[in-house]
Amino acid sequence: MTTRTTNRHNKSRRGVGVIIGGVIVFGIILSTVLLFFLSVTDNQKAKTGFEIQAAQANQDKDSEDLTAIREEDLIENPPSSGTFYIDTIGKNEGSLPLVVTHTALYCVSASGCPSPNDPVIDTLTPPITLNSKDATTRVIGPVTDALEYKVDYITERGNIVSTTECLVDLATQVCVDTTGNPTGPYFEVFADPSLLVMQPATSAQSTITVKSYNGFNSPVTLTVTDQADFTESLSLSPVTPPADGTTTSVLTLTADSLATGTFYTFVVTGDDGTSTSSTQIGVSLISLGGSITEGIIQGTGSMQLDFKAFGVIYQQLGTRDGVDQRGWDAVVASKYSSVAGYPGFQLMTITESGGAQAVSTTEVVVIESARNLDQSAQDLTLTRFSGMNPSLGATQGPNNPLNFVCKEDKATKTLTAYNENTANKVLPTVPITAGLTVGWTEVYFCSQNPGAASPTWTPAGLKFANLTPLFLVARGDFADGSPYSQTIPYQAFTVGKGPGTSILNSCLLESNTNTACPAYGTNQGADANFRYFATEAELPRTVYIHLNTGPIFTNGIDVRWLYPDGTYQTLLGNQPTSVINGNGNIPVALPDITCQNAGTDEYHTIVFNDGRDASGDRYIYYMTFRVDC
Amino acid sequence: MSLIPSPHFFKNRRKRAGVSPVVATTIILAVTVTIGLALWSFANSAFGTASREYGEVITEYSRFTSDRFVIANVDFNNPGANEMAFWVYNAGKFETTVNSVVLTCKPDSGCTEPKPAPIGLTQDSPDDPTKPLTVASKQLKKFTFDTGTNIESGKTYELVVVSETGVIQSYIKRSS
Repeated sequence: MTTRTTNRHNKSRRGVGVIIGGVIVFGIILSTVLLFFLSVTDNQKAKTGFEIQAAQANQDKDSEDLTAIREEDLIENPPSSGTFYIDTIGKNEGSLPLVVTHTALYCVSASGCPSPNDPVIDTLTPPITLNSKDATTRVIGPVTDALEYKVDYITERGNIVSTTECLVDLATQVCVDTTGNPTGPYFEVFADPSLLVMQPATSAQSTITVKSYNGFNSPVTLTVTDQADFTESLSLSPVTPPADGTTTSVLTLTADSLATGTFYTFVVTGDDGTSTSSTQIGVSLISLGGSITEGIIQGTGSMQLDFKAFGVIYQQLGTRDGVDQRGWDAVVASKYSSVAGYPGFQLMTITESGGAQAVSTTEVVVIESARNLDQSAQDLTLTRFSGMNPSLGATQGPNNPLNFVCKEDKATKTLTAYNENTANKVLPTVPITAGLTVGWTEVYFCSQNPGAASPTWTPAGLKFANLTPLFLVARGDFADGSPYSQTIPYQAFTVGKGPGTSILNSCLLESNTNTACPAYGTNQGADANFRYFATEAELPRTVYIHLNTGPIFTNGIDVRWLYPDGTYQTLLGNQPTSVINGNGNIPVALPDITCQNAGTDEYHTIVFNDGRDASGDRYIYYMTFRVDC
Repeated sequence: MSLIPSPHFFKNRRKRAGVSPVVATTIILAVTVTIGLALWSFANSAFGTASREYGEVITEYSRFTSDRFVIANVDFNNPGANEMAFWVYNAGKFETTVNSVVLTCKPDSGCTEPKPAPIGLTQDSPDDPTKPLTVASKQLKKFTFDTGTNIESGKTYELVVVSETGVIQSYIKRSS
């Protein structure tokens, strides 16, 4: 019994010994591992530190802004020695101090440089520290006559900045710039504006400015290239700008009445007898609509389009073609001018708005997605939603209902119908460099069969087209320097002489009474009294501008009538918001329409011009009328 | 004689086979410590080697990140025909060593023989043909080499300079 107890005690001691030994071993190994990881951590920290230092060094290098300027005159040192140097200035334009350690003079002539062509390196001892905006002058050379040189400034952080290259002319003791910008007196010619939009038989002016550089003060003779369809004149020539100042002359361009071109380029050249400078003026000649475009765009800083005006005017049509249309409304699907990210065009859907009054011969038409006319392929998609052609009261004569989208071929005077559901590209792609009149396409809703072309299109072919929207599509991009920043899709009603081409209904006459409307069942094309002419007697005299829910306008609403030449007449000025907000109507008496150019269609536009809405945006609603003159 | 041992036989044998508990514990401790030391030695050696190698990698990396040189200029047929000179400015804090250069005539410039040419370098100032080809901090130094090819006039060449730490700088210039 005693022996067994002793053995148990011995085993316990041995177990304790093993445990102690194990703990010691584990401790040793653990400490070793810990030391290893500490070492790894230290190295990682060091690596991060190196990366930060490298990034900081790169950042410091990139933030340096040293400019190296070369003076024109050479420095002769010592005087009368015949040994010349290039006079340079290094200036720290940045905010950080920098250190210039070396300069190097390079002979860059194709021939004549010494061989080997080693640069003349000047190690600056001590290096020159330039604080922010400090400059240092370095005279570097010597240089040899008739050889080209450049000078490098090398900074401590490794930036190398070069002066412009110059050709040494010891006779005049100057180093003449060979990189394009003369260092001596010279002038340049500018034009403002450099783009004019004109109509035939009109004049426009551009101010030609002659600017002096480096003390230039000599007479400059101005000339302008001649174009067959224009008469050009300059108010002053020659002109003499004051030293480092400017002087101007006015270029007047007069377009002939029979001018047929669309875009002209005029070059104004200044010549002082030893050098010339030129500038270009582009002229876009627009016989239709262009001036309206110009007037609208130039009259506002920004423009967004909305077709509410179209819709609500249509709403006011009342009875037309003997069919009660008062139950039909034009509804815009989105609040402002944006359809699927394409600004400048509005989705418009004409839908049935009242069951009891749901009578119309007009099919449901959706016009959507006129996108910015950049260089992309798709410009405009027209989609007609079919299936709604109320028969109640429909008296359409022998023609088919309005089923298709037609586009007129100006050259052949034919009208081709498109099935817009299968051929969406109706409008052409308009290059950004195209003339200002390029890209305007008229699109009609017609009753032709897809693909069919009427040999001679007459307005009678559309006499049952209750809706004849006319799209005038401009294009351009401010970012590219052209005058129009975005697609400006116009929508216009044709107000033509021919039967059936009208869309503005005479029911708008005289405070929107229907007394002048034709009776039910009459064909407007056959009714000589139901035509729309661009005459004072027959055009609607009053329209109602109505806005459904939309932006909340501020006071100061104007309604203007825009003439083809870009001038306008204010029809209503400074109206309070109470007249328009909350589904209000603004009755507007239209002015007399007088064709400015007989025989040529003109576009007149009514513009609804608000102040600013709650978000600070400015909105303009406008309707363009084509006037057959 | 009986073959069965008497009970006293086993009792006496257990006494003869036993050791002192103190001795046994000491032996066990000694063995344990010995094994522990052996393990520590092994681990310390292995981890120490890994740590040292990693430290060396970091040191190399630091040399790479701090190696900051630029090619200031390149000149063809300098000092002699089909030779080439280039100037290196060391913007870093430490000495940089140029290890090799590669000259390539850009194919799009119409070269008939694009030829990378890592050729033996020489250095100026001092004119010491022996390596290392070093550039002290904040110094500008000229190097030359024989291109080993005919430098075509009007063609565009790219010179790639590789430093000892692996930093690469290139300079593209059209030959006159």
